Amino acid sequence: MKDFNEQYSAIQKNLEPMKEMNSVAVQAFERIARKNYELMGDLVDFAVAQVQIPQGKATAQEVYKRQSAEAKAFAEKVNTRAAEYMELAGELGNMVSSTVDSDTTATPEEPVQKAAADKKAAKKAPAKKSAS
Amino acid sequence: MEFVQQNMNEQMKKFADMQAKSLEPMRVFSALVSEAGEQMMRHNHAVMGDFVEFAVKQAAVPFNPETVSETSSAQVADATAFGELMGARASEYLEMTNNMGQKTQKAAEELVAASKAA
Repeated sequence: MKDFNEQYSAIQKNLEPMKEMNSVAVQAFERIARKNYELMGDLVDFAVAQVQIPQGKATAQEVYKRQSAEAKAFAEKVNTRAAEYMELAGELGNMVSSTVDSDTTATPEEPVQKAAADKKAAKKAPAKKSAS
Repeated sequence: MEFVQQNMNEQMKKFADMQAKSLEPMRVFSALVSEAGEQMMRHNHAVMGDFVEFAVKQAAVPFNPETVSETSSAQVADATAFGELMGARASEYLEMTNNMGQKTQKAAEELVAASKAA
């Protein structure tokens, strides 16, 4: 009987074609997660700046002006981030399509043919009976 | 009529000045609250970063394994390290809270002393 490690490596071998797609998924997850984290950082910076504006001895009008300026800058930043997200989505889409292409071109009918040949060979040479 | 208007303007200005003067001592607390808010938000953001790192690591682990035991031990090691990190973060939160408490107490004492002296 095969031990667990052998079984696991056999499963891995069978899942080999999926491995590349998995690595693409992991990469996509990582990049999106990091991008979200950067965006959260921008939000934190904006919130902190907004809270700190009225702290100085500024008049209400100055506070309003500075808050508006900050909000405008933040909106521009968010727009840039949106463009970055779009770019990222494009890159990830390209990665997926190139992986799919390479998978489909590199998937020969070898495994099926090999399995059929193995079956034939097994029929021709039956297993020897162990001497008890 | 002009006199009345001028008088009104002066009164409004005086009222605003008085209000600002009376609220002046509270400015320290407002600054403290703002500081505490900033610290807390930045700390939360740092913790979120830890979560992102952990999640990315965990997602990447199963795809480069040699054997099952290596995979599981790598995951367990990551989880243990993450647990330790969260422990450290919790103590940082505690320290931050203590610091802010001390600062608030000091500000309150100074305010009381100043109002007694006045």
